[in-house]
Amino acid sequence: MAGLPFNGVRVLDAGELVAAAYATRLLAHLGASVVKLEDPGGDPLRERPPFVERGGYRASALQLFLDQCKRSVVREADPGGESTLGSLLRDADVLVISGDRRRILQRGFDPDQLLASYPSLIVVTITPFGWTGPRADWSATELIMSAAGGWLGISPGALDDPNLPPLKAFGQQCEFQGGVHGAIAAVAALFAREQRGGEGEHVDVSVQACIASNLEMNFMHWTYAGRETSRLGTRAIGPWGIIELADGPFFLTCIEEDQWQRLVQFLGNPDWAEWEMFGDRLLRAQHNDALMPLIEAGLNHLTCQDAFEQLQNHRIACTPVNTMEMLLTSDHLQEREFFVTVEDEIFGAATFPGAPFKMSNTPWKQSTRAPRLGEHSSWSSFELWGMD
Amino acid sequence: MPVSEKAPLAGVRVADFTWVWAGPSATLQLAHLGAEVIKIESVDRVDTTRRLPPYADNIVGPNRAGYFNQYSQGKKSVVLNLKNEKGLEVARDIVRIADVVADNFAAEVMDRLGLGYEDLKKIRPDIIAISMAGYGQTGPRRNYIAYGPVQVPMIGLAALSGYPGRGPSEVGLSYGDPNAGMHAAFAVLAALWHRRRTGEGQFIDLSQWEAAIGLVAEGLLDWVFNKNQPDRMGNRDLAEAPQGVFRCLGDDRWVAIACWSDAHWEALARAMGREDLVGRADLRTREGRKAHELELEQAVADWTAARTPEDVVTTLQAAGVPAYIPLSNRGVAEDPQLNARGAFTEFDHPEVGRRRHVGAPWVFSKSDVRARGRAPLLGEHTAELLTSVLGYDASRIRELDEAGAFGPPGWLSRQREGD
Repeated sequence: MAGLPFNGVRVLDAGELVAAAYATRLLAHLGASVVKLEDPGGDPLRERPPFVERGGYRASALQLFLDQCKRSVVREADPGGESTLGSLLRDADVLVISGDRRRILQRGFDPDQLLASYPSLIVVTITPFGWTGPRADWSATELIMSAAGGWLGISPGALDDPNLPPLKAFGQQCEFQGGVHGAIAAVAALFAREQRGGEGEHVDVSVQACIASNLEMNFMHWTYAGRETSRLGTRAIGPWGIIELADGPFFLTCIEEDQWQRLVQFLGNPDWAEWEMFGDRLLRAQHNDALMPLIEAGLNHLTCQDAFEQLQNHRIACTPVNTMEMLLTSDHLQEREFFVTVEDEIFGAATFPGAPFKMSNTPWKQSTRAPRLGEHSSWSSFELWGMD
Repeated sequence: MPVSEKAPLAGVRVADFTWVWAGPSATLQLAHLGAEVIKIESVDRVDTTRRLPPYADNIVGPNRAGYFNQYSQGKKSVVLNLKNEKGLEVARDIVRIADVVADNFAAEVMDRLGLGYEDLKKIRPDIIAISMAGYGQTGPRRNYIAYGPVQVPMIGLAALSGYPGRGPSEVGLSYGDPNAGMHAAFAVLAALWHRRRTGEGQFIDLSQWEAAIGLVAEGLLDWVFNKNQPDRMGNRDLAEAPQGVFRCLGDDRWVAIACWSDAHWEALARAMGREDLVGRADLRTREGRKAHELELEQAVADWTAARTPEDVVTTLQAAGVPAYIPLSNRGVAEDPQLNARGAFTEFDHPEVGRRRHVGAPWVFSKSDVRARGRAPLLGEHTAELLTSVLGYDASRIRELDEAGAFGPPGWLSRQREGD
């Protein structure tokens, strides 16, 4: 396909679970040829719920999402299989691999050895703790990466019950962040390789470090003010949080003073808005637990949709707490044609999230369904990388 | 801060109109990769992150805020008054010498300033412009505002996250911001790669909302395929058990433990001295363990309650079981793995001294990729840019200053006298 940024870039995805699959998804939809190289049992991603079952077949919905626009080749255990791997590696620009470091080594992907044999290759490893360091071989899953990166310990933030443990965000957020970081690093390495005249390198992405770099101002509370953070802490700014309106939960916050003033006005200038304890956004943060019920009482005659439209018209940041159904029926997302329909001869036509951004000249490539395990194993190298 | 030719983005210049977190986190990645990032700031409306704690030694000041100083590492700061025609003139001159223009205002703000993509293209035809509005540039709610914390409920993550039996939850971070930032950095790299091949620039419309919806695909697709909105399940996993954050010996001390394979489970049961559980046929499969989730969680909780988290983590990791302490910010700063990998930076800063920040999260074996230096003081590079890069002479600068191009009339000369 002409005109896409990564047209002609060949990416071998030998990762497991989400991180590598997401990194290569971003590359595939912008034109890269992505071959997913799976062990005989298949990427464990294929065994992750939720599942879709149709006509006696079962697939992971997450895999159907992440592997669109890719081809699947099963790595054979025999020596002939290794030569297939060799020819794939010889032709690839980038190898992306994710999972525990020990597991990656057991599967035979040692970046130093690979680079010795394929000096122009860019090897991107996305591992929980990174490739070096005393804990590089420690085991991790999503929950563990969140703990090690410093996110889990501060979540959900401003918790009212100290008997509840730190709370993991739904899904595989650390894996996704490892993935987008891996995609950034892979493209950066393509630029660098060009400047070096074609010499590849190992790019070592630590998910722990990715998460630690995403902690908002939390990290600096220690290094600037000597204050240790926890999930029981206070919010940065008030008002901030979820209230209950006539038909469901609703979120609002006033980051700036003028937004607070407009909220007070919207609420009919109640007396409590003048109280000293709500005097500025930092004081309001300290007294957020007292403030939110007052705001709730002032708004809970409204439905979420009405409050949303009326408050947004007053330039106040707010939203209904969206359910999956609300996302799929959003008029805004529909008008922007965010969701895409992807046909699958077994699982039918279904709606998937589309492009994470819209590029005016090189649009996101139309999705083709995710491959079955080994669907393209019999294809020649030329066909696998073929520009379609 | 000279940037070596080994930096992937050496020679790339970014006119950075972003503020708060989403945009600055995007341009920070570009700075790590070697781009020259020129942050355009307003003295009238100083970046929110310069106006929030923590401040170094609890002394308030725009150059003393840790939040700003983290996400502005290695950038330059130029002060401009974009409400002033002369200020806009300078802004257009910066665009002329830039490869990338980035903003994360609500839709139409850049257009109203005369700095929308159509305007930018006239100044520099091959410009890459990225806008990161919460709702994107089109659609009926394009003018609605959405900060990072609002994204968590917007994308459905709040509805899916939370303790069982309780309401929807926040997740401790304004997660939509850094996520938008990372996707934006990737999009800019893709556009730069395209431009190197074709000479063609383009406009990138990134909606922070859309950049994050894929992250809840497990929930969204369960609805699409099965009409099921998953229950909030705290720290449990959809497929595997036992998994959780368990209380340990000590005051408010916890440990995260996760079993994602038969081998993890057997090793955990053995480490807990529960050979009786290892032998149980009904626990040999993932489905079996999931069916006995409560019982297994109780067994783990009983075991961790009498141990410190350090003891639990050491024992379990030695046995190959995924476990870690949910680190506080102090725990992150002192973490032996992050420290051994050089994950942190320390630069001399004229107002806050040497402070520890988090650097680039990737290690490149051959390319020069790293945090480039400390965050700039407010307006620190204004004079340097005007003189060395834009080539303005002293009388031009004085004229602009008196006309209020940088802030209140005369702001720049007063700043320089203060030096």
